[in-house]
Amino acid sequence: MEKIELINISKSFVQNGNNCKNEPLILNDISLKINSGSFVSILGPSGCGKSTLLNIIAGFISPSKGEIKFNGFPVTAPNPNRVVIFQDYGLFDWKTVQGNIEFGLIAKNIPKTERKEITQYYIDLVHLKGSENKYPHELSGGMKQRAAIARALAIEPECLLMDEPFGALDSQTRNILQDEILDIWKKTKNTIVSITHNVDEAVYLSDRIIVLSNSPAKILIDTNVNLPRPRFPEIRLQKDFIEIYNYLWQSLRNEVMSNK
Amino acid sequence: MKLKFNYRKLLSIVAIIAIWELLCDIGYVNIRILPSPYVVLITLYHLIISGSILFDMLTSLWRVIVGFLIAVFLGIVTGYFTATNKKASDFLTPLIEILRPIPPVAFIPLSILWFGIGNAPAYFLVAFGSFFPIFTNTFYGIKSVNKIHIDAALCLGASRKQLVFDVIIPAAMPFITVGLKTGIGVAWFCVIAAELVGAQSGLGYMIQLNRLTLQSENVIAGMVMIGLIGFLMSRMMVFIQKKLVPWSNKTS
Ligand SMILES: Nc1ncnc2c1ncn2[C@@H]1O[C@H](COP(=O)(O)OP(=O)(O)OP(=O)(O)O)[C@@H](O)[C@H]1O
Ligand SMILES: [Mg+2]
Repeated sequence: MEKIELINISKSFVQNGNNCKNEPLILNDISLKINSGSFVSILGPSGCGKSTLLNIIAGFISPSKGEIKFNGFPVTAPNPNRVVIFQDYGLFDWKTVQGNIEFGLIAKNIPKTERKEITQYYIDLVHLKGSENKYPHELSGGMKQRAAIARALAIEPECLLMDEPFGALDSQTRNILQDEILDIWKKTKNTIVSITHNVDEAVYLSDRIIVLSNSPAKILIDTNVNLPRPRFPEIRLQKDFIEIYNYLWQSLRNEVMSNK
Repeated sequence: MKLKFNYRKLLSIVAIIAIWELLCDIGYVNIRILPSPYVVLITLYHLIISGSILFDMLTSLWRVIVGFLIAVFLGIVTGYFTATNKKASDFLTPLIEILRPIPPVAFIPLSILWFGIGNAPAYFLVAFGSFFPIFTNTFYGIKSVNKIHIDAALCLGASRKQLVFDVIIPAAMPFITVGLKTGIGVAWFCVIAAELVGAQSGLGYMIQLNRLTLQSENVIAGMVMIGLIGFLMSRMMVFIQKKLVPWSNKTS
């Protein structure tokens, strides 16, 4: 069953309010169906429109042309059934870890005692025990992203939209969080759309990988990753992994170079 | 935390008081218009013991608090609406910009005409003066709220109330508290100015009255009190700022 459906999506940004037709096209006629419960990564050259695409799925911006559906219904605004995890975390600086995670639960009118329990559960899940009362500026990058993940998961969204969630982290922390997100995903079974620059990460995490072209972005490659699950770090040394990695890496490289 | 006080910081103050005392003692200045620090200190002591200066102080403080709270309310509300609503901005900004360059003290004559003598003109002047820094800082604070925080709140399902009071206002709070700190200084300035001519109580009135009766030691004692209260108020705002913005003790 498809969770997200993009039908002939095009996007250009209207500048200074004048709606002349020669605004540069960012997304060019993108159609895509994403199945419920799948882990899909989107790769693409820098600046090609990956975040724009994610923002359209989230409902932050609307497409210039085309239609987007979630559970078969048109998307018109952000909704807590699709939560975004931002590259620079998007944590509320004025709230503690606890306060950040509770925010979405308060929005759902969940009573206080239950709220505390849920918050505690997700704090444990992302290994942030002991940091409940810290403010974001007191956390390391990895801890911030953990808090952001807990905040998103706590409201039990059907879909997680991640915009280069581990992009700002060192490779060690990045690898640890990749395994953690796979663990969590196994429990929650929600649909995940993840944007990344990192081919290795895309192959390691995903069921399916979409590669976008240079701007105006269209879909260049749409491929399944048929590696077994659960995945573990050693899988990176297997032939199948390396094959698909090389294929994607080359394609992406060619696309980036063709722009020069 | 260990309190280490740098005594050098007191040096300039001690020096000026010593010279002042010396000049008075050797009879170089007319002590009727410049009494010695010692006399001022004794006077201040008596004024405090008798309670009269405390009454004036409380009166001034009350006026500052009322006027300042009015300014806080109006400043934050108008700052919020002009920052978030184009129509409100078009409507209010020209009016605010036309009033801003008028020094609050220029409103003293009118405010006495409108409100008579007493608390009301002081409320008005204090509110008028401290409105601008609070308004401006709130405006820029809200303008500079990071879009990512709004987006995050919306996709977490935030209600309108949560968006305003749990996201926009706290995000702007580091700016707003700067406005409050500037505002309280202006407020203290305004209340003293208002009392010099538009009141029959308060510290401003007290020093003016004592000038008329040529009791310069009382005038200076009053000024010392004014300085002291002003200093304590700005200290208190630093404290309040830390309470309101507990997350930005360092950088964020
Ligand atoms: N609000 C906006 N107004 C105008 N142009 C925009 C806006 N947002 C994005 N763009 C333009 O759209 C293009 C794609 O931006 P986008 O952020 O989606 O790229 P990206 O693939 O996410 O890039 P990166 O890999 O650097 O994150 C860029 O050229 C950018 O300048
Ligand atoms: Mg991006």
